[in-house]
Amino acid sequence: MPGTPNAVLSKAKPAALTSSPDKPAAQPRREARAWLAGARRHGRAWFVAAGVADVVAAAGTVLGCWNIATLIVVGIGSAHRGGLSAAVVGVVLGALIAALAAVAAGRLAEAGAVRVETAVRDELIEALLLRDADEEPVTPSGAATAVMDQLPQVGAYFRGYARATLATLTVPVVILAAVFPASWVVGLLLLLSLPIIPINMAVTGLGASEVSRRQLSQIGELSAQVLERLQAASTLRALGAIEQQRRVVERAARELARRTVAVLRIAFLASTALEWVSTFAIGVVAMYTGATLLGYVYAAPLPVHIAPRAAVFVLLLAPEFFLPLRRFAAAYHQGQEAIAAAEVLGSLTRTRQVAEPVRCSTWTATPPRVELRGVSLRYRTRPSPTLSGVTLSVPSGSVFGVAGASGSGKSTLLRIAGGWLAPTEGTVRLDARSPDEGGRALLIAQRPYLFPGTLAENLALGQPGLSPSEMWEAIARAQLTSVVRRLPEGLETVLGERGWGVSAGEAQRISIARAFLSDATFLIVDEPTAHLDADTERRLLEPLRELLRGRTALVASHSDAVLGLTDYVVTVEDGHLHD
Amino acid sequence: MTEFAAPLYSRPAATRLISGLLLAITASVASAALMGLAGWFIVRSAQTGLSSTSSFSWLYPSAGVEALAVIRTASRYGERLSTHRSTLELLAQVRTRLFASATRLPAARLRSLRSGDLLDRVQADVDTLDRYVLAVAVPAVVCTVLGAGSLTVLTIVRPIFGVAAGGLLILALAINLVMDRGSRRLGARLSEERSATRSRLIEAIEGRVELAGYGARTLAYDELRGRFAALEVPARRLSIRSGNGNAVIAVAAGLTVAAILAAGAAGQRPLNSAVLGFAALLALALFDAAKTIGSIGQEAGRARAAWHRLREVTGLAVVTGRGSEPTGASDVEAWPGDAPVPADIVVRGLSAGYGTSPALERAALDVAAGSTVILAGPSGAGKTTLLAVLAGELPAMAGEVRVGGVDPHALSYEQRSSYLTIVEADSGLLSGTIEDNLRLARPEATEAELEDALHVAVLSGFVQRSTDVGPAGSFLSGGQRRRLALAQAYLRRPSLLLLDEPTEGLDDATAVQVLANLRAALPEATIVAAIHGRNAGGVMAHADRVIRMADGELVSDRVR
Repeated sequence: MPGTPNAVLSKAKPAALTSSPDKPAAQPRREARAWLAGARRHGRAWFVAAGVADVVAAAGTVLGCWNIATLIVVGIGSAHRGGLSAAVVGVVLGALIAALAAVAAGRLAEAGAVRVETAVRDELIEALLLRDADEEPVTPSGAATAVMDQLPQVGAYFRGYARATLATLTVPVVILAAVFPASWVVGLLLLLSLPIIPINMAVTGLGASEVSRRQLSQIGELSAQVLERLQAASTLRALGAIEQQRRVVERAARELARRTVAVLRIAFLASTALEWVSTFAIGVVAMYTGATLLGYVYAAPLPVHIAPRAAVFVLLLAPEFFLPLRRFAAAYHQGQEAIAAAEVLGSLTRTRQVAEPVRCSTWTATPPRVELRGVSLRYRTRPSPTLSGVTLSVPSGSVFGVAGASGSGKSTLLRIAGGWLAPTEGTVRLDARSPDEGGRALLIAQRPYLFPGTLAENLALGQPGLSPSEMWEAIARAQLTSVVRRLPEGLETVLGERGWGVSAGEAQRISIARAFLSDATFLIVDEPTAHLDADTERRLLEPLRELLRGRTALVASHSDAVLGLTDYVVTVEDGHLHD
Repeated sequence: MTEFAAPLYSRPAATRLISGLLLAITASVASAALMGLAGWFIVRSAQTGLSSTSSFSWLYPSAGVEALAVIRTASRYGERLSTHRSTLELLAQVRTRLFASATRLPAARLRSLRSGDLLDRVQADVDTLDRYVLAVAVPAVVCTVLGAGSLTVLTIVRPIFGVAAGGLLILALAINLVMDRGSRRLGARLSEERSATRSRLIEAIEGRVELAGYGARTLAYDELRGRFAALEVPARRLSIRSGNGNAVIAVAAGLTVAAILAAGAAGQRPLNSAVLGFAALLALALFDAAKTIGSIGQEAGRARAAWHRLREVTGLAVVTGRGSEPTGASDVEAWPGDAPVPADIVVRGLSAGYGTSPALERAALDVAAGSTVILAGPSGAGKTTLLAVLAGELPAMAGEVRVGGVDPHALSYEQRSSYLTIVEADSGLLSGTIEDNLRLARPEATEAELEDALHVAVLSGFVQRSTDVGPAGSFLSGGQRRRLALAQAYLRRPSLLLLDEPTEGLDDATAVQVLANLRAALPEATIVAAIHGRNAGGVMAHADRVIRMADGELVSDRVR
């Protein structure tokens, strides 16, 4: 039952996290870009300040280059020797300004990126803790990958790519403003070389993005393959299949390397083309200024003369003119990664949530009367509604059984009644109040979630300060006393990952004990014995009966024994309710 | 790191790495020469233009500039491609090696690997290793060559230039090194805290409905936010450090150029401006290259930390060949080869367990070859521990164990799996078809053999050979997964078949049927099955012996 809220940690397909290669690419990419633009607002002021600092740094570079040029040509006699020390100071000052402004720009962009990451992360965590599990096939560890690995890619995008993009628009202007007065021909030359770059970036970028999308999904598949084999390693070992599977892993790893090289080849071609344009342009600037200095240039309207200092100055500035573009090319992959990440993050924040984040559940003193009126639910990803027009009234203190085949909409009905999922249409009322006001139900899940911690911590979930005697009493009511007495450290025994060492039946009884300890008056019980054998189920019935007494409850089950505990049974079939 | 990397480089990958290095050196030398030549050329042109008496040729230097531009661009491309290719091939090797060595870990360690987030970290760590080549080794070599070359040239032009540039360069790199000092520890702490945070996040998402139900969601939300905020502090400090490092190098570059120009232009015998231009631009190019090694310490630290974690988690370094085995090898010589042995079991005074206190104490047991034994008792009674010892996965703390006269723990995994098969309670499946999974156990099996195995496991009729089992077998029901694992074990035709909860998720009739089929299909084999007391039902009736266990002891032995 991968759809249950407590779906076992399955590393199904990281590939599903990245965009799948066969779905039309344009739409999600547009959405991803829009999402990134939206995320930018959290750090806008910082990014603008970083852009300004980058411009200041460029101005510092111009100052330094001017003074370097002055010092170089001093020997030719075209500058006053008296200005020598001032020029030395100018070189150092220029370098200082450029360096400090670059540091400032880096820190400002960092601060902005951290703000974006923090804001998006808060939103994500909130959404993930409120998410309806059925909507998107993202496993908990997949969601963690999104938060821990893909969100930082968005941060890197704002630190690197976005800053570089802004700098390609501003820094060349500063450089050109300095170059034009020195030599308008060189200025024009640089200006003319500019459009070649975006055109060639766009062409190679298009190819690269297609290839990199394919490669991303390949990476996902490969890691899923390796992961699965490592997780099943002891079985493979028992079956003597290690060597055979080592070859499978080796093949997959080689294939991944091969595909990655294909992506890199295109990315490197793009940056090589850019570098070629810039290096070539620097060469042309050198040749032109050299020829002019030598007096070879007689083509009107080109100037016949250029001052030696101006010639050295423009030569020094030419590489600076292309520097932001080269940085942009180096950060190009960040843009691609961020878009892929934004597709995932955007879909996670957009997923269906409960009506609004409830900070705490409150339970009414008396069991509530629960009413569903015309409740329907339709998932975007599915053609037909999962529930349609369900009306149900559970009187205060009544226990209703819900029967129906798996996939009939039973679990969805339970989650809506419990207040964890907002219906598309219709209303849920607990004593005439919405679940947000009236409090949500307490869940006894099919596979109860036990936190890796001590038994006591699991029992006291949400209500610290319970006394051991209260816990022992609940343990007794859940008929766990003999089990817990056998545990090495009793209440303080640490339960392993996903309740290691606790059998399914025991875990279920722990969750019942936990429910006894809460003041919940409304319970949702979702197939409590689905994974248990008949014997274990029998041992659960008594505690369950005790728990249900005096509470309003909806109990979904296939088991006649469990349904026997209820006052009345309704059946869900294809999203409709039958009595 | 080199101790692992060197043997992993295949010949073509090594060739590629070396040619990549050569191309990298070519590219950066061309780059520095380009700047120096252009500076010299412009000033020389200016001098010639002014004096109008010289025979300076415009053609050669400008052709030289363009030639260097071509060389630089082309070799840069070649360098990137070959270093990345060789590194990616290396990583492919590491991944394969990682898998191979992880599969040799002791069972308990292997079990801890099942957690998905640990594996995620392993994957990320492998990816980090490439930084060691691309961001540490290559730039270090290139900068050393380029630095030595350009400092020599500068010294030849004027000794003071070499001293100034060299001194300031070393100073800048030293400052970088000092600033980087705490980076490694910071980086290590960062990744530790990151993985702790990841686990908490996964837990909170998995348990979110319960968190909501018990009103503990805000608690979890605030705790997570706090953890992430704490993560940001070291991360930001690391990023600020590398920014500062670059600034130090940039300022040193400015100082060097100023010093060279001041020293060259001033004094009694000012240097020719063209040479001065060459020297100044060469120095700038040198410091440009130095920026690539500014954060070399951080990068190296990160790669080294990743490497140590990999080694720790997977025992990567332990394995150099294929057959090494950490256990004692005294019995290996006595091993009769791969012929199936009559697997009688002798256990004397056995104590064993996973922790420090034994889960099994002073157990004694004799099982005749070919008999069926059921270990019954509640969970925690020591059944699984006994099976693990019999399977050779777990060493005895005290006492001795003999299967067919041999201590199974003294054998290699290959030797063990040739005669005994254990089906663990949580045995795993791979995505693919039923047939793919069956062939794990016997790759060369005929169709008839596969159908036979499905029949023995009472799976024919429920699944086809071509049925897709889904990721980790998740499309199958629990009972089907169990039976598929039994079918796999049967295909091994073991002399000793160890089953941990083989009937979990099966109804009584099917459970009895499967075990009876296995018994009939493997008439020679010794079968030991651990079954929960309450699950045993009719199964007990079919065993030769039922041994009850409780609290790590064999409490009763009923022979039929």
